[in-house]
Amino acid sequence: MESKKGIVTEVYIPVEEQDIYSSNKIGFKIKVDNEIITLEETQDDFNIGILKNDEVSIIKQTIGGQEFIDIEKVDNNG
Amino acid sequence: MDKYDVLNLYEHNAKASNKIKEKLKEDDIVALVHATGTGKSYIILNYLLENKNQKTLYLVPANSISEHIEKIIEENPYLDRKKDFPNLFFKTYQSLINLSLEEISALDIDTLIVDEFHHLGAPIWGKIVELIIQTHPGIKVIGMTAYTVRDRGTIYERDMTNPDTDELFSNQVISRYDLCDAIIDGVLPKPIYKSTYAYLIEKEEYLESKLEKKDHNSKEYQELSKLLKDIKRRIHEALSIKDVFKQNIKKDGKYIYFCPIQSEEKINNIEDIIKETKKWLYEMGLTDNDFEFYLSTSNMGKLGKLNRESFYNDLDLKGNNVSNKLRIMFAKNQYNEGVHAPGLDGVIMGRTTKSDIVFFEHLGRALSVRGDTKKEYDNLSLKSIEELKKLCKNRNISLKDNEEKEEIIEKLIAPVIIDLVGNIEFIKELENDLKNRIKEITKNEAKEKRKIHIKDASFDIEILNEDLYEILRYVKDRLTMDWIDYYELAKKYYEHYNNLEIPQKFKTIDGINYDEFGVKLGAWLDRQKQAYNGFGTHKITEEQASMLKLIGIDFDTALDKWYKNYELMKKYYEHYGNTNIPKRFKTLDGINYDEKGVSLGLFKGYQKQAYRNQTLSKEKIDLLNEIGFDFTLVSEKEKWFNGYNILKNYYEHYGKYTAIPNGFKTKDGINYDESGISLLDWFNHQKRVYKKGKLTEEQVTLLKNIGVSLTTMTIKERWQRNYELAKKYYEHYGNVNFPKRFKTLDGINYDKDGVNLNSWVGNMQVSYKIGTLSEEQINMAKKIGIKFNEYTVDEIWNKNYELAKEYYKYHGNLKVPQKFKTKNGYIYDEEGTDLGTWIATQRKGYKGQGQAKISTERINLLNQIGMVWFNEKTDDKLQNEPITKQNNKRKKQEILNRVITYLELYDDYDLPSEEDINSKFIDELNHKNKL
Repeated sequence: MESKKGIVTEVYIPVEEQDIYSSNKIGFKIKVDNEIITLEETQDDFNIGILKNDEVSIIKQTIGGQEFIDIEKVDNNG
Repeated sequence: MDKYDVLNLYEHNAKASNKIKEKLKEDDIVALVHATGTGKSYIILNYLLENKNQKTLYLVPANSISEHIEKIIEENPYLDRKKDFPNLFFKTYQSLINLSLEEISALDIDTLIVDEFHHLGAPIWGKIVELIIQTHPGIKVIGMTAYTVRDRGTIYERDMTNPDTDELFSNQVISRYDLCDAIIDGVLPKPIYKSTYAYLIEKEEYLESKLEKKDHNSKEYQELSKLLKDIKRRIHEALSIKDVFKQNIKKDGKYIYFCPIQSEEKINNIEDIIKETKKWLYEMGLTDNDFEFYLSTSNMGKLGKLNRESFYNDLDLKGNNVSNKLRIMFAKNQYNEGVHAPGLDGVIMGRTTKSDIVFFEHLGRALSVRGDTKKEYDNLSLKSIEELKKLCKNRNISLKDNEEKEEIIEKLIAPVIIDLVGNIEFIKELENDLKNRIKEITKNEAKEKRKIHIKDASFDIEILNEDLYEILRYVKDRLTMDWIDYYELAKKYYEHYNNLEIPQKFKTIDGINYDEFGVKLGAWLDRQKQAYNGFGTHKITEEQASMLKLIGIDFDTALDKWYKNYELMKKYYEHYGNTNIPKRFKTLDGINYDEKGVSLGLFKGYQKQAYRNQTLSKEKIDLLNEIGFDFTLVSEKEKWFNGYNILKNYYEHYGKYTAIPNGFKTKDGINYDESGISLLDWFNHQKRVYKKGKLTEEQVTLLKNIGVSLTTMTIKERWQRNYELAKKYYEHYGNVNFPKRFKTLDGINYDKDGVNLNSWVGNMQVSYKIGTLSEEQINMAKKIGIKFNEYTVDEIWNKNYELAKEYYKYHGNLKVPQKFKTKNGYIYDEEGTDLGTWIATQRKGYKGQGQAKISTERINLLNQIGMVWFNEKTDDKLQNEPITKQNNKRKKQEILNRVITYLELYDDYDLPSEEDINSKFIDELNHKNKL
């Protein structure tokens, strides 16, 4: 498991053919070690609470040969 | 002018306005559900007109809606944007998505208008509005929409007013007004509806494929096969979409063409639609100079705005008047909500409508934008009934024999709905609803006096190919679905969505997309589950159950499901040594990833959430602990609950109201743990956050429940509380001579945790001096006998010094009795200044005792009038007093002041020699009451 911390620089709705109000996707641009990582996921109870400027953990794991990348909010406010 | 006249509100809107006003007196949230085109925006403008000082954020799904509202204000001669709506600003939902929490908190708003609030059904939009509400305590929220359900008939279906769920607008709706109401009240006209059953060939092919599975020798097969062959031929010969278009478009008309959202290349993307429309217009005999096209999509920015404004004002994009040409606005996701364009002749529905919401939004839009119908009505009134009938014939508007002139004119000016995609079921549903509603009103006539503005509830619906549709429906009814047919569809659904969580109302032809014409797959699946569990009348074989299990059916109860998921998680833990399961990890065995498996990552997340919300049973917590489940709480809310639970444990263990020691770090609220949280810091943080208004209502309630007092009073509130205590004291004891150490919670009895009223009065004197006490507070305090010193601290000292000087002159010494009061300095006077106390205070300052301080200048001034700093006993005691850690600060001050007094014996130019200091100063320190 590889975990890195980063800062969310942009939150957006990925729009392909659907309009933003029909879309159930959410996208994040995260600055990690001076690089910008883009992650797009289905909206769920966990990722909709992640906002711009939030500190997040990017957790990379390989399970059964399959790579997973999770984004989790880190809270420093106590 | 009456307030409702300014905005010319319809009666139903005036009623809704009053209801909003009433509800917001008691509550902070209110919602209304009114049909598109019935003037919802006007209700909001009326509210804002009455609440000009409220800083209001009007949240809209698209900029075109705010443009429309600005237009309403601009075009109203009685309104002034800056004067009447000085604190109104607009934002789109989309513009909020990329805001940080700080930016959301910094939105300076008192009121939030949520337009088209069914969008909150999407998790992200709901969350953003929730954050705005959380960060703005006391904010007023007004929601409005035409339809409350998002994604009807899909797996994401969610009703934002569902009374059984805890949605933002659950049980908050104060007014409902649908299209039927609007048509009955004459607010909207009945539509002229022109449609065709489209895509019949696809439906025919679907039925043909079903028929092929039947026994080819059967009578049924032969009969239906013949019917389908015949109908196939007729479909190819039938009038098509382009014929409907040609028959119903006016050459100088103005239309909105609602384009499909999901475009497919060479079928229904905007470019192809425009190309195809042009072809039809050429066939009508029009040239490029005879029509003007406009385009508006959600990503066109300024160009989109130019298109919308030009269309609105009947100009081309260069600003030339084109009102004599045919004008068509091709809109993708722009005109379905909230926007009006004047002078419309109709709308063209070219959008795939699996959603009735979208359909009725388009319909409402068309019905509400008839343009200057009065002028048209007057012109038509001049014509004879025969001429009017001829006009109807030319426009394919059907008439009944007994229709009166007014009804014919109404039909001629009614907007035309040109439905190119066969939304027939919806319009028929509306017609039936309208008829039923009228029946209901007529039945209740005695109770409900409501005027029905339409004579005939039937719609003018012209449907091409309806006969063909009916034949297909007949074939479909004959070809009843087998269990295996449903199963095949369910399998397709499963293969596409990776689950079998099919909504109960889901209908489909292909197993993937919703289709009103399709089979009720959701209901069928429910029946299978019921049958498996022994409910209902249906039966299911073991083989069928096994087949359904293969495609992921969940026959089990939720509880069983939890334990099954837990077992998988346990296997994961045993294999990988942790429960850090990735969110998208799916598995069938707990170890290997399997796309068809259980979403174990999400299951992990929901356990943490349940723990946080305290809805996870102890048994489940224990089970999860057994496999080392990491309850470490990461998110802000989770961390809060972690701190809260620790504090709760602390109070439960050490007792309510037990002060938390500074530096106490803990993980469980009971034992010290260096790696735990600093509980006092956490506790104080809550108070600070509460003061900023950033604790949620739920958090405040939870903290209060465990005895935490969050109340942090303002200075004014604290003053008022102390005043009430002082008043009670005064009423009880008849004076305000509060003893210095007297503390009270009730103004009468001593309480060590109470307020020190003496200090309060002292502080008040300072406030009085520096002018921070209000006139009202001064008067209130004076009423209960509190006196204010009219002089500064220096002035008071000097005044007292002058009295002491007089005392010295008269009595020859400054041995002032402790209780001596005087007005002239030498004669006792009960009403006079407390000179004895003042002298004692100066001595205390000299000796470094208490809070009193005395400057060198004042020591010298008092020395000049024979101040005796020590009486005999005190001096002896002080000189014999050992200097310790406890008294060294005081002693330092005392010694310093003795030095000052000693040096006073010498002139400025005649300081003591080293020898003098060594001998005499030591002697001075050791003297025994020299005076």
